[in-house]
Amino acid sequence: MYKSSKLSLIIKHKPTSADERELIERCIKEDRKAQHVLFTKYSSRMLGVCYRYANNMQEAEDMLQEGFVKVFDNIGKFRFESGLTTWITRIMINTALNFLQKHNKISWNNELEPVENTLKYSSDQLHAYDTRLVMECIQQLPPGYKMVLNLYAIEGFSHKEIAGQLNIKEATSRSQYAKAKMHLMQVLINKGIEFKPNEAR
Amino acid sequence: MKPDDFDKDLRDLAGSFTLPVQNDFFAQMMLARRKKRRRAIMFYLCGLAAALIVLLTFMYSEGTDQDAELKQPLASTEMPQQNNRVLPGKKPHEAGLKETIYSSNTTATTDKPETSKPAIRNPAILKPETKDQPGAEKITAGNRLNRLNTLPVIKEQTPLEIPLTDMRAQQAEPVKEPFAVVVQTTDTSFTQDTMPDPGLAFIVDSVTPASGNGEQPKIKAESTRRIEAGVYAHYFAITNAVNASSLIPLNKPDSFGLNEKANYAFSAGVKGSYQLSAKWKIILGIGINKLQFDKIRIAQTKVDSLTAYEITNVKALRAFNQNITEQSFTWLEIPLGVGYTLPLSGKISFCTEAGLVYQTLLQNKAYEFTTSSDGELSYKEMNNIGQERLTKNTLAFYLQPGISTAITKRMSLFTGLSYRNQFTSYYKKEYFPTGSVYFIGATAHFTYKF
Repeated sequence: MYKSSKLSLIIKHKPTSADERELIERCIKEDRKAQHVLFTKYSSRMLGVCYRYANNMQEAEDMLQEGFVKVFDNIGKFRFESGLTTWITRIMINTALNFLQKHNKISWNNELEPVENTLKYSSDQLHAYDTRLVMECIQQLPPGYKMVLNLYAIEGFSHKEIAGQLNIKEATSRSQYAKAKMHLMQVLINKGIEFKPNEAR
Repeated sequence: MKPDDFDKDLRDLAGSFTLPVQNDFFAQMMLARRKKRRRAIMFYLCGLAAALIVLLTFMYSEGTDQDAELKQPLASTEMPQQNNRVLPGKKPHEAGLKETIYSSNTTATTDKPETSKPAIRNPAILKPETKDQPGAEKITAGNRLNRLNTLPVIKEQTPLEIPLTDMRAQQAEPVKEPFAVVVQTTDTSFTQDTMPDPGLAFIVDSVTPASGNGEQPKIKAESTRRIEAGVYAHYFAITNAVNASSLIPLNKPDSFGLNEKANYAFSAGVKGSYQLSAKWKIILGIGINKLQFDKIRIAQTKVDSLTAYEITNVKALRAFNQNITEQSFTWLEIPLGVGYTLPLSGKISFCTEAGLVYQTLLQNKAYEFTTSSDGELSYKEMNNIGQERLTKNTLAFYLQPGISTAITKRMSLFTGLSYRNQFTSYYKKEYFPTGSVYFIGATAHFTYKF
């Protein structure tokens, strides 16, 4: 079971603008049009977030729906202390984690042997490729790998936070991440991305 | 392990990753949300009803216990000392006492122990009632068995703690003060044949024990049934409510006035009451109140000879190329009031209830209808639009005079008039200063006494 503590994103966003504030206030009053505007503005991006955690598009859409229901139900609790994007993303991630846990879609590889990173990555190498291709490579990772990779590399959580949230050991999180990274690189190589051997090791 | 270039690039890529969402996804999501809310409301109402039932059951069981306590005759341990001489020695069941002891109203005797006949369990020696006491009655051959069937049920009584030998010794000296034997009438073994001498026993309706100082303790009157629960329904046919149409967008001016009258208002729910006195009671309930504007009766179209299609028999508001009709409001209402009952004759009594109704808006709904090129009407449901113009929580005064008829001892039906006047308007004053809104109609309540 997950702990009750919620993940906190470290991604900094610009503060809520006046238009956004008005939009939120209208959403609090259950203005259907405002809700539609908010949904249109964030749904594509949030579907991308959900897709990173889901095993397929159907699951991602279920997560998105569940997440936006929570957003509209709890938008009155938004305190304008963080960006709206950050807040909605946090809800989506927590919804996705709860969804996977609820449906027993998380499996952990308990082997804790350290994995040596034998490949060298050059900066901006990934940018040369289509985002969708990279995301599909992430999709091919086992659920446990994918989750830790998402939380650590993309969302920016520490292994301690991930361990606390997923109720696993910190070493497990590190191990899963290292394996996930190597696994992902291998998938990317198979897709045609070249990595040089790591000379420092 | 710190994030490296790979992680940073991955984050940049993922941050800009988007996927297209289907057009009808929002509508499906809102539909799912509405269903979820309805489930939550139903769950809440069911929980409330269950809690109410548990509470009423608890209160009812408490009242039953009190009644039973009052009706239950005194056990032998509660007997006055002068009549219940607890003597040392073994208890009857320990000594193997099987004899049944009967007594006359003049002299106690144990000369005729009826060991062969079935024993009457748990006899208790009680002080007989005097002739002044209406409950005292000598059993006769004619009324004995009839009385056995009508006597109050005597619950568990403790065994007489007098050993047989001591009893015999005691009874060797005639007791001047008469006493009676109360038998447990629920004992099926007690029949006319088992009674050795019917004329020797008293059967009493009730016993008033004397306290230690000889004073008669006061016994409370049997508690009246104070809790009532039931269902209610109001139908308001007369009202001055007008539809100010909350559907107009805020950023556009109003193009029409208050021109749509309410079709009807309906209210139904459950309520409970507590009897404060013989005439006054306090009432609390919960229910749903619905206000419907201009329900469509017949919808049909015909071709106008000059221009276009004309819609007949459909009342609608036209706002910004939208034909809006059938707007309705649904509130959750909580009435709290007092009731006054004046018995008229027999089962009929005049009742009046008055109090306050708190209402919170659950939903406002309307339909937008359009006409196709061939004149067919199509409707599109719209929910919770323009709620920024509506007052979420309102308060009203209600008055319900009528007649209550007792169907049975516990069930009653109340029918009468229902008047309700809003203290707070449905619409915010800055948008529509509609003033006071009243509703007049009929009401019916069905109640059950616990």
